[in-house]
Amino acid sequence: MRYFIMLCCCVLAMACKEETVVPTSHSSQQKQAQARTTKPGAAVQLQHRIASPVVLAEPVAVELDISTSSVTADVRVQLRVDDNLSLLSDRNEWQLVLGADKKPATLAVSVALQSGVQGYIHVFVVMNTPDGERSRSFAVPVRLPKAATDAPGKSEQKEPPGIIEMPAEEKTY
Amino acid sequence: MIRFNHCAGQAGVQVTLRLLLLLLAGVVGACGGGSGGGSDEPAPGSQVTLSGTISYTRVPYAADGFGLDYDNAVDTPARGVVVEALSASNAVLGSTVTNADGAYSLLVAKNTDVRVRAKAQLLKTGTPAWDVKVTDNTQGNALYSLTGALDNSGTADSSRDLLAPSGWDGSSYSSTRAAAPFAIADTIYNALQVYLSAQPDSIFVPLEARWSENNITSNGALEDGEIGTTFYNLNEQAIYILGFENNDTDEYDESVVAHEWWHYVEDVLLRSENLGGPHTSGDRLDMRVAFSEGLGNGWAAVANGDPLYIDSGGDGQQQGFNFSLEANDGTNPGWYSESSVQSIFYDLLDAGANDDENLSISLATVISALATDHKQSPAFASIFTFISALKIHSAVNIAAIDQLVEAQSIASTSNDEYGSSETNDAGSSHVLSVYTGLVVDSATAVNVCSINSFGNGNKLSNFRFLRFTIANTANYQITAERTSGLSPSDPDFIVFRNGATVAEALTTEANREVETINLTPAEYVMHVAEFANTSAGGGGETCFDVRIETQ
Repeated sequence: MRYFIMLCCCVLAMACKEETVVPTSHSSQQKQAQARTTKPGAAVQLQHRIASPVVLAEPVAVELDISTSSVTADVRVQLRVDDNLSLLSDRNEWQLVLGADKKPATLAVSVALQSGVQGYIHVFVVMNTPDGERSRSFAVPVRLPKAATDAPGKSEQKEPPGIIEMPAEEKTY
Repeated sequence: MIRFNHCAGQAGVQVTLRLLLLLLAGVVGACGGGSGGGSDEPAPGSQVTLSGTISYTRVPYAADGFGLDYDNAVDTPARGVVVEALSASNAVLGSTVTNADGAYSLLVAKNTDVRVRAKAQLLKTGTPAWDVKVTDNTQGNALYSLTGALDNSGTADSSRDLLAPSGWDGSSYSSTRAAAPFAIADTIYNALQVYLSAQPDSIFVPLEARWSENNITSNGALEDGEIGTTFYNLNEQAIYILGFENNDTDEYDESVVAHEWWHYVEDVLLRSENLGGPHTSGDRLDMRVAFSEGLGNGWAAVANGDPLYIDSGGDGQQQGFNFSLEANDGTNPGWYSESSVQSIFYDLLDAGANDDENLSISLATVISALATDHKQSPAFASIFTFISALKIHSAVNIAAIDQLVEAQSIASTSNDEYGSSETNDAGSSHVLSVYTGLVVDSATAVNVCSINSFGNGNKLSNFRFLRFTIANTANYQITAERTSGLSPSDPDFIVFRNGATVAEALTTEANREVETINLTPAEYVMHVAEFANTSAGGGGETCFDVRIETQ
């Protein structure tokens, strides 16, 4: 478990922050990590790169690297975006052949954030395995740089409620 | 209907799962029911009974096993949830718990403005006991509740029924998804009752199921909802559950919720040495991962009374995947396969018309084996420790158990908790023996190789297992030193005793790892790995000499 959180941290660092981490001890990081047992799903991993800082209403190039730990697998990739994102690329579906010994398949797409501070690219991957189909969803955030979203007055934090009250459909008799 | 034998003992009477659940739920409901009260309770005669039902809209799986079926959503009793009568100023006037029909009854003062609030909380004190809260990780882990309108209690008994709607308008979620937290709670309630049918006196530590409609499959801050996937967090005793529409929602996925709940049970009541990380059928996994995940899948089928494991997701929640626990023909079967483990676990327990083998052992027997001999084994938690324990608890079925296990290409006859007789090497020379014996002060080191032929992180032989016996209390130096492979290499090892970590040697020193520890007489196991094989990508076959020496 601890090892896998290290793995996740490494993936995050590589995919999103492009930082180099040089630990002197694995344990110090592992003790900070959270142990997570996940639900089953397709043996697919996704990393992404966003080429440049996101600017409202301007195209942004996003590269999606899709890989697998399975020996070989046919996968179908479907892509959709949140309502406040525009998908500028022509394609939103791909058929790929992945393999543990192959380089990740890179899908290049272009999107534009039309409103708000972030939107998600939703990537749905269906893998054909000898045991049947397995799928997995991913979400790639396309968000404005932090400085652009930290405008004065926007940093006020609401006190979280102790209890969330949701309205019931009520029948009285 | 799938039938299970939940009764203790070898000659336990088979009853239908649903009937048993109803009986148990009735007992629990009866035990948990309360009434208004507290020190300010009005005098008799000045009160009226406020009763009713709490229910939620459950969206079932589609009949074909792919996605959700909104057209056939059903209003379903919210069982075992806390119900309160609140005053106009939100003071709690009374509290109780719904029964198996979702019914509640509270005494409140006459002519008082009251509203009814149902919490997404399962609560039972005494023995057995549990406290499960469904909270929102994006709102400070606040507890979800369902609230009715403020209305006068009048002078006569009255009823108020509360329904938590799904928020689905036919094409999307357009209003509050109030049913979601109650659907999660109800799936857990069901799992609790099935477990209690085998271990009636279980005391469960508090659990939070953290769900938000913002919980999405992006890895980021949990408080922002970027939880990556649905998972159980061992450090918090919390299950994080996806809820982002058109991406992946799991609130109605009983299979997923029950699977993660099993990881919680392993953690707090049984034994968990699951490394975590991605996993699927066909993977050749670290045996600890394969065992835990296979049991999670098998448990989901047992708890839900349905051999089909379904995970919905995608656009409109109309996609996803499924697999049957009745299937016994998964690829790459063996002691490192979650498919093999789930197949064995399910077949041990199932019975009735759809049963495809003649073995049916009670859930009580299986859980008892997991909670005692398996839990206490000096070996790592695996199919080997489980089957060894089960043979002790179900001695009359040894031949049938062996047949079931060996059908999955796992040695069973004459095998032990260490898998000493295992012959399935997955086609690699760096898989067997399952454990390599280490002898204190031996003149010859043992050589083991960490590989990533089956993937990285939590796959077969990323970690190699060793075992040794300590006869005398003393300080011992354990060394793992590179002999071939990656250069520089980064060996790591951890020593365990009965499932508990004794020492970690995880430095980044090149080619060598050394740790001196005080050990008392006992059986110990350890795993050794090349760090690169346990992290994302990279790595390769790397071999180490391992020795243990008295200091």
